[in-house]
Amino acid sequence: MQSAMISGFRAIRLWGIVYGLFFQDALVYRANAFIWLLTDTVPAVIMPLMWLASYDGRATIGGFSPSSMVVYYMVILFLSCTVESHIMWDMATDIKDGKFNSLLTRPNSYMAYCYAGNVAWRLLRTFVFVPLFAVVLFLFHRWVHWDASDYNFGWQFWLAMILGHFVSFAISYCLGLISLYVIEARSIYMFYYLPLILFNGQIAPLSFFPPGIVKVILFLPFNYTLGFPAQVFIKQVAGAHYWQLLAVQVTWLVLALVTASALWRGGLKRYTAYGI
Amino acid sequence: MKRYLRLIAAFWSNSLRQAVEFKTNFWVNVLTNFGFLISLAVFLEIIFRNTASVAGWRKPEMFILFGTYSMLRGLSDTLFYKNLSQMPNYIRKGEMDFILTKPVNSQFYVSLRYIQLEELGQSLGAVCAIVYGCMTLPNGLHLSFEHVIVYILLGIFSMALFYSLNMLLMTLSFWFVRLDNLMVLADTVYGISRNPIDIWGVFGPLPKIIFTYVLPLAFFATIPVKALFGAPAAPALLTSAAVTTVFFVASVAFWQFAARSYSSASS
Repeated sequence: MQSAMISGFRAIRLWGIVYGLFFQDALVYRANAFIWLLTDTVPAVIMPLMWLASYDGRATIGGFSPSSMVVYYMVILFLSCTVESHIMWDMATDIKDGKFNSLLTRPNSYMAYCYAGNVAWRLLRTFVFVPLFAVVLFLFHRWVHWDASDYNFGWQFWLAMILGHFVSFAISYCLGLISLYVIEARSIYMFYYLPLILFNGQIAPLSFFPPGIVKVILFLPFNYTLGFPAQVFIKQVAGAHYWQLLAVQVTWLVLALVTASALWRGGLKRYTAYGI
Repeated sequence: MKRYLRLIAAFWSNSLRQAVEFKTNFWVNVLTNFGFLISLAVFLEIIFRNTASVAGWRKPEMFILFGTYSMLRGLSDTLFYKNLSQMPNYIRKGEMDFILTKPVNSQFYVSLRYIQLEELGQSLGAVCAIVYGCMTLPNGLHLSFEHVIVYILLGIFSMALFYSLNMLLMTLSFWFVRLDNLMVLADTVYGISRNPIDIWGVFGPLPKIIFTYVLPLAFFATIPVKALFGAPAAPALLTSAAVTTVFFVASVAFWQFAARSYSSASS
């Protein structure tokens, strides 16, 4: 019992150190963090502007008032900065440059290592994001009304958001592992980002897509990163429908994790430790 | 003048020989640009199901706007943008000393030394967007010969303006060694001109004034496309020429100031 506790503490301390290193690393790149954030923010400002410029005196478009339209894109911006993982780029670089070799020989899990790096980045980005977000909210202050009854800020939203974070991480991790099989995996990632941008809710609220396409989107994983929590937030998803979609979200998470472990096992067999 | 044309010919034939190696980049550019185009097409499809115009812009005009901006970027990136992005390297590696002592205008040299044909990949999607836009023009919108000429003239001005802005930006590398971040930032900001500047009207007149005279993004695509569809040509051409001249002269002056105060990295 006592030894289990000691090893538990040791693990926590170890991960504390790994995490601290990542955080220092991320801090060095805070200028990068700021700039990457801006690349997310500019489209998030443009999209609601395009909508606002098309109301032309009407009270709503597709059930969205100007205010709820702006809030939708603000939530998407918030989620994309906090939830979405892009870890595969770092993994591909690690594997290609041979840094992966030294990581392999360490006694801790590579996935946990990637996750620590991911969370450190997310946290740093969130710190940088807060002032930027404040500016964007101020820009749109005429439209952002905090009417709590219009939005679901409860546990359903937070649960969907946290699971969305894991779905995004698990898929990115799978994509990163592809580098063990393919030399230049980075060009493959573009084929991931295109459907991601189209279907993760960034372009427009799901209800604006034609019903046939909505069915496809609800089947694919992309919606379960940002789109689903955002739909919960604006109360487009509630009750039994919520549980249905949550089940699909969890299914995708499990599928991605299973795929990751298969890719990991197969990849290690093929991996020839380039650079030694 | 003749000497400079001969130099350009030599630079280009030089680059062409190297270009064969970079075919992958060409296709990456084609794909990225088509990716942008597809996501724009989806967004436009959605928004125009629900409205007839966005800040006065109709769907075909929006496609032509996107195409105009991508065309500007494709041509500019091919001709000079990648050259300018080399500037911090020239300084870090001490090559700037040699460039400044060469018997040619140094700004000419750093701007036009290489052409990057793979960047033309961006223009492929642009051509598609423009052709699609022109084919789907609604009744009451048509292109006249004079308007097309004005549009092309404004496009040439916008390239010179784009050049001047980036030249101003990259000349900063005499003082700051790392500018790659700044370039990503600039790219993001330029991307604003993929959409009509008029949408910023919802914030009042100030943003439009800023995007015309301070950070002149409106000239990259919005103003040429508006002229293409019959906005008065004379004021557009005059302001475009004036703003471009001001920024170009500023870029030359800033370059000369920087080169004069440069104390060399190597010796």
